[in-house]
Amino acid sequence: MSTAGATTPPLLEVRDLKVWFGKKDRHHKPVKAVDGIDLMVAAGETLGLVGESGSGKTTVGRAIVGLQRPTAGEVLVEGHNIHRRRSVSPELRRAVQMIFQDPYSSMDPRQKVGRAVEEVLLIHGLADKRARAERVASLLDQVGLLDEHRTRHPHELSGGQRQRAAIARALAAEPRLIVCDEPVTALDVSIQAQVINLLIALQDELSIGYVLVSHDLSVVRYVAHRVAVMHLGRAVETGSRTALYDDARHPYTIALMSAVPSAEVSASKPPRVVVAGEPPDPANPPPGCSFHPRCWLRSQLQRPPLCEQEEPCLRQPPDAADGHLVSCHFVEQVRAHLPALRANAS
Amino acid sequence: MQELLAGRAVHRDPLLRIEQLHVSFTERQGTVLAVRGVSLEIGVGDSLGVVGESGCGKTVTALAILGLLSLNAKVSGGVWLGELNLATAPEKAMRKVRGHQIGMVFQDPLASLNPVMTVGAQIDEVLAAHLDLTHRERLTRAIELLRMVEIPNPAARLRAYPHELSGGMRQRVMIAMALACRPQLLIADEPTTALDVTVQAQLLDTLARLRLELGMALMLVSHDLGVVARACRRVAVMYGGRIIETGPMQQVLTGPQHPYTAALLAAQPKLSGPTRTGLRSISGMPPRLREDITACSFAPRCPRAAARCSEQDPALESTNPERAVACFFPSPSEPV
Repeated sequence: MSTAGATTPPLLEVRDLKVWFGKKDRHHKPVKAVDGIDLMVAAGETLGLVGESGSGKTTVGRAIVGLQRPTAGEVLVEGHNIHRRRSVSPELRRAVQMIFQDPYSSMDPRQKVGRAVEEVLLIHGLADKRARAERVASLLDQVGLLDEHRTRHPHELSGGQRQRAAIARALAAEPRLIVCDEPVTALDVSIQAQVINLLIALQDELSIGYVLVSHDLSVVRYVAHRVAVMHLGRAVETGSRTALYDDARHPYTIALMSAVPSAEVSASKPPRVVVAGEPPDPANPPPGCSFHPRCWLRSQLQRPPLCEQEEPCLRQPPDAADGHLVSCHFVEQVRAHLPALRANAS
Repeated sequence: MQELLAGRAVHRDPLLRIEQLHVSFTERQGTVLAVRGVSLEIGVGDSLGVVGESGCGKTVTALAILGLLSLNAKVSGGVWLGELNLATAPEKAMRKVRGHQIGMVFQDPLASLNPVMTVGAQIDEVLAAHLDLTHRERLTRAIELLRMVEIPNPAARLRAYPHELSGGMRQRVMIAMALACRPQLLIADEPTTALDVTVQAQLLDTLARLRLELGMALMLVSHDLGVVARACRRVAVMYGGRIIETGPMQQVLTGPQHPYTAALLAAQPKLSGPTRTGLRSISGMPPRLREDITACSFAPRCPRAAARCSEQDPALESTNPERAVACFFPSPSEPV
């Protein structure tokens, strides 16, 4: 179809994105919330962005939709830099939408749900007056809301229904990419499953790309095709879902997974890998590898000086799957030390 | 004195026994029946997880034990701590129970701590209120308490203000204060919900260790089955203001008998198993509890519901010596 050499750009490409906050002069060090991250999302694909608080995952999401101006780097949607006004058509701007954690604070409390959805159509000129009502009805139906919800205010809906309304609002713009920032965190388990299933069904049907920002590793595993684990503004491990969850290589990823509280009772339950201490302060990051103060591998390797001297780069371990990148100086030794760790844990 | 029943002879008298606890709130829009007949027991040194979704009555049950409900709450039933019924005890008696015999930890430590007092002064206040110690003894005790909850460099930390500590450390301070008088029971309501997973795991380990070391009983209230599974021996699952299933943690998790417990487990994404398909959501919404329902509160959402379920509310009945379920059609008790 396309001529030789000319490839279509990916739906989303994030290149060396940096977002620093605060003054930059001799007396103040900026807080490097995001400090050089590369991401890629194809149509119909979900990229999961996981990490603890302060890892920069939400800031990345905000920079992707254009709510946060990057300090450096590029956010390209279908090849166009979303932060350069001249390169973004209104059509492209519309193609990127966002769903927030708390729909109660992201919706106008005085606006009825139907009106909130219709407003999007109006702003973007997506349907004429007659078609609008029909479109609103079909959008509400698509997210599993009933016709009676059209005339309700946000406070008259349950948490799950409000999140459905927020999804309908995002869908109204006919997006090709949606950044979902903790979309189910505020919901109860039974309702959470409804919304997760809805997001997956919509993706399969409409081939929308998702960036799923979440602290919940189980939710990300269920939804995402590919995953990036963030720690202090950087991706420390990226790869396919199977690579990440069945063959995690970064000491941080391994520790994070073992800390997930699980209601499963099975022999295959991975033993606990204990991380001492708490996530570091982004305003005052440790030198070298940002995970080194808490790293279990480093202590097993008798604290090699390299960890605190040099920041590791993302690279593919020799025996890892294609596209599985890990930023650890001693990634080759992770597997050899896991059994010892497990023996200690049990 | 209560005589020991034959079947219970092996158990000691429970530390805390709740019998048919009902709590309702009168509001302008009407009455909300938040807790509708909860009965449970916590033994000496035992650990019980109370699990359920928002509005199921788990927090109200915990607050009722401590007598901390708002003024528009109507409480009936028995909350027996030894010979004392906490549901009817006068405030003066409750002040002795709280902190002394029952310690408590809430979800948001920043809201529970005084922002303009140092951590040390706040612990000192607790010690001075409850124990007859000299200033020097209290200081030693405060340091010892912080060390017990694994706060590094405890002597220096006493001079810190709450905002100078991380969320995990603040929660550890709250636990230290709750343990100041060595209570027999610690009630923790969503103690780790606001924390990162790695910090949450550390804190749950600390709670489990303290329980064993101090021989203290623990009642852990959480929406997260995984959290409770990590720290408790027994579990009580609540729905619509009632306990619908209770039993030893492992048994309930591997072979849930109530369809709601089963659905809750199936609705939770896991770190193994299928992806993007197979997550069974529970359709509909929890009941609103505006008026007393004479049916099973889960019936409208239940796959097993029959005619009987919408006419009668099933009672919590034992299925084996350790387990009980409130369902007319429970799954067999042995894991399949």
